[in-house]
Amino acid sequence: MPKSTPLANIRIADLTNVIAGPVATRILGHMGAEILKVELPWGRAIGNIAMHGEDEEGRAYNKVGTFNEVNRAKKSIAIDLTHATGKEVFKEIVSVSDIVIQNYSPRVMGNLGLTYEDLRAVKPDLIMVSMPALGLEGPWSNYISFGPGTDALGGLSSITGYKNGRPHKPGNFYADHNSGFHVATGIMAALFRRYKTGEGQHLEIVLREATMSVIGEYFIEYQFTGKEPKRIGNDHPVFYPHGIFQCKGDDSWIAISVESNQEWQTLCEVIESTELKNDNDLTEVSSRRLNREKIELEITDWTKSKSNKEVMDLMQTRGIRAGIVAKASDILSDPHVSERNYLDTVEHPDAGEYTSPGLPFKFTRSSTNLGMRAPMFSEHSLPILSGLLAKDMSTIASLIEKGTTPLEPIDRVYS
Amino acid sequence: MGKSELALSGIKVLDISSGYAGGYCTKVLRDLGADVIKVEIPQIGDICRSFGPFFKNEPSVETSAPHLYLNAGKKSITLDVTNPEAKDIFLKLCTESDILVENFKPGLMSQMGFQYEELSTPNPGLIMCSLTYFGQFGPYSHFEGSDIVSYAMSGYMHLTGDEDKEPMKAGGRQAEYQCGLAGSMSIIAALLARSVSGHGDHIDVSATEALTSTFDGVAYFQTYHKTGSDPTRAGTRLITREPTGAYPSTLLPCKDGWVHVHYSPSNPEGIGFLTGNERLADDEVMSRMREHADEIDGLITEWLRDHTREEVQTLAQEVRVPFTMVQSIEEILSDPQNQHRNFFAPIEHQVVGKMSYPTSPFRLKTAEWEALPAPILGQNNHEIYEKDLKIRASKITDLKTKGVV
Repeated sequence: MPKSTPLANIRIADLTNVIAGPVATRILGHMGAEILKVELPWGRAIGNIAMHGEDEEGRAYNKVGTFNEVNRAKKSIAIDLTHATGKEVFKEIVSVSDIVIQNYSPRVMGNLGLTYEDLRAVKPDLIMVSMPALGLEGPWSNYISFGPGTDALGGLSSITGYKNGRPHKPGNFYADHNSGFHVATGIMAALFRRYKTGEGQHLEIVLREATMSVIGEYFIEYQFTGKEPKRIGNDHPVFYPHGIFQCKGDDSWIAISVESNQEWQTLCEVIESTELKNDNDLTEVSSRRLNREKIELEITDWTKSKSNKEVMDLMQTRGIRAGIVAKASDILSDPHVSERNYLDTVEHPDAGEYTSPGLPFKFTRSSTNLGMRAPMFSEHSLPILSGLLAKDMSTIASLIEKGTTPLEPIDRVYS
Repeated sequence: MGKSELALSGIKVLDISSGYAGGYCTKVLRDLGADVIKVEIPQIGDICRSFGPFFKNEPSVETSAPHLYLNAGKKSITLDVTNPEAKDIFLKLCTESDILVENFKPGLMSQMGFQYEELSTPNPGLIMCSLTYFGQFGPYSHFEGSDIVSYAMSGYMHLTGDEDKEPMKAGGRQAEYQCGLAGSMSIIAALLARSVSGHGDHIDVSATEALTSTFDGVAYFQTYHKTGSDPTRAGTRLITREPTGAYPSTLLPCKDGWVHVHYSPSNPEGIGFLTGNERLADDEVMSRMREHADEIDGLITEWLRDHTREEVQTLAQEVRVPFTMVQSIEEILSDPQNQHRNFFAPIEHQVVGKMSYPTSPFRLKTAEWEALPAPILGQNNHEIYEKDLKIRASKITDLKTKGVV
């Protein structure tokens, strides 16, 4: 029997923009849901954030790297929701969808007349998901923030940083992806509940609250100690050595964590340091912490003579927790990544071939939809209007002509 | 509205994992309404119980901050599943569960006779989720891992930190948390598949892949393909460095700390208006923002110098400019937005007393999150062994003596 996807037969009307929302729906698209991405008539807002270079051939809006990555496995229809006819088209889509997801700031859906109550009127068991930055209610509810700003407000910036350094940030758009994953999880739970009860619901997942949830222990810690947690860079509160060490080559590093005294002994053998191994003062982690300079010099002396991959292999052969600080090229050529078929490479008519992260899990008995590119702007407007919504050609022609469902981006009017 | 209306109510989770990843995986399932039974090693418990900080700085299995957070609202029984004498009880527990979460090294479950095929024969709907650092197969599957090792190998570390310094790990245990989240996400997907097919699944989750999945490849693989060189960390700025790219997105100092300043695509002149600095709305700067990053930082910092974080946030947000405060953990616990939303809830625990806990990132309009404490190690032994499984008390006493329970 061929495997099916977990979300086969689920349709999602997706109003989200930028990163967090699109990440959630790309996960659901890869799990088999049909995602109808309802785009803004003036094209792809994300282009202002991450537009990649200038473009001479035109259709630059189809070549926005981040957009193409986070919108894989979706269909695109452009609708101007400020037009009364645009709202009607959208409501018709909702009436044949299972889920509506949006990440506008809280007032927008109300201003458009597209609240949960409005939409439930056309689809009684609708699941609607709102993912505001800070919450649908509360004194800061109308504040706008992108992912990195919620890292700041949510504590991740405060606990990230070099020792004795300033607050910092992890990676690029961590908070957006983190909340997107939480949203995909919450949506599927709501679907499971609907399956049992027949009821929809309005689910709210807040970017900042998803961030606070992945550092939850720090809030308990503060109440225990009465002190702000320190920024500790690559240190561990207990284990030592724990950190990264320089290897041969440019900007080349290995991460090592030693979590027992036995592992310490083995590490000394791997780096061929009889001096460290025989130093009885260093057998306990507490004393090792007092001799950091000596230990780090000795380890680095050895790691610097080898590539980080050699170091990883030599350490792992002896059971030491060690891994390279991987660069893009390392991951793209990694035998483990390749054997697990993790990366998702797709071919796009305008943007060419591109590679993105895949899914972080593998089912045994279900399939997934990896290998599907992002849609071009408004690529599926015609099939959706004529097929799914069964509109006649003259109605469709009028919607296009009035800019309600444009096939090419139209100039944005700032009100 | 009670617990019965939560999304996963009635779903039974057996959690034999130990550590942050499994802890967060089943915390999410519990937040969404599932009943979670933690199966812990007698005397020692989940390894999180050994991680500090501890209440009153006194290490014990009941006083660890990560344990109290991650395991709130779960049940605890003690059983050493690696002991052959525990096998019958474990198999019985599996037959009564919807979900099994484990994080042994790949191959160990099979060695113990607990491969998925075996466990699912009497319970075809069983969903088993295996959480590891590198996955169940592939050349690194037998590698020893840890949070920092996965953070490094995921590619995230190379992109975190200052340009002129060594790569840096994010605060906390992000590889393990993302692994747990990927676990709960895939488990719920498998529950949906089971609703149709009737059969369960065995899911393979890799912490390293979970973290790789949280960065955008445009900053990474696409940039590498385009430029032929590896993108590198960019301090608190975004990784992409195209001269025409939007800016700012960074942390800058102000009068009493740090703020995050961010460009608004729908309000491009906003920062110039906010700061009253015409240069920040100038065409030369606006058309090549990322190229002017240092200048932009300097000009905004001039304005920030005279304002506190709170003033910066209020003044900026009033004119739709997305500037936000860097808040301390202490401040977050009582900020007005969290207070209004009751994101933190008081929970009374018999050893550490009353503390404020983060509640749930899932705000389901149909039911409230239930504020319950983390279990005492083995708290539910009697209830589950004697009442639910109907095992004789004398047998339990015997197994206790042998260190199995």
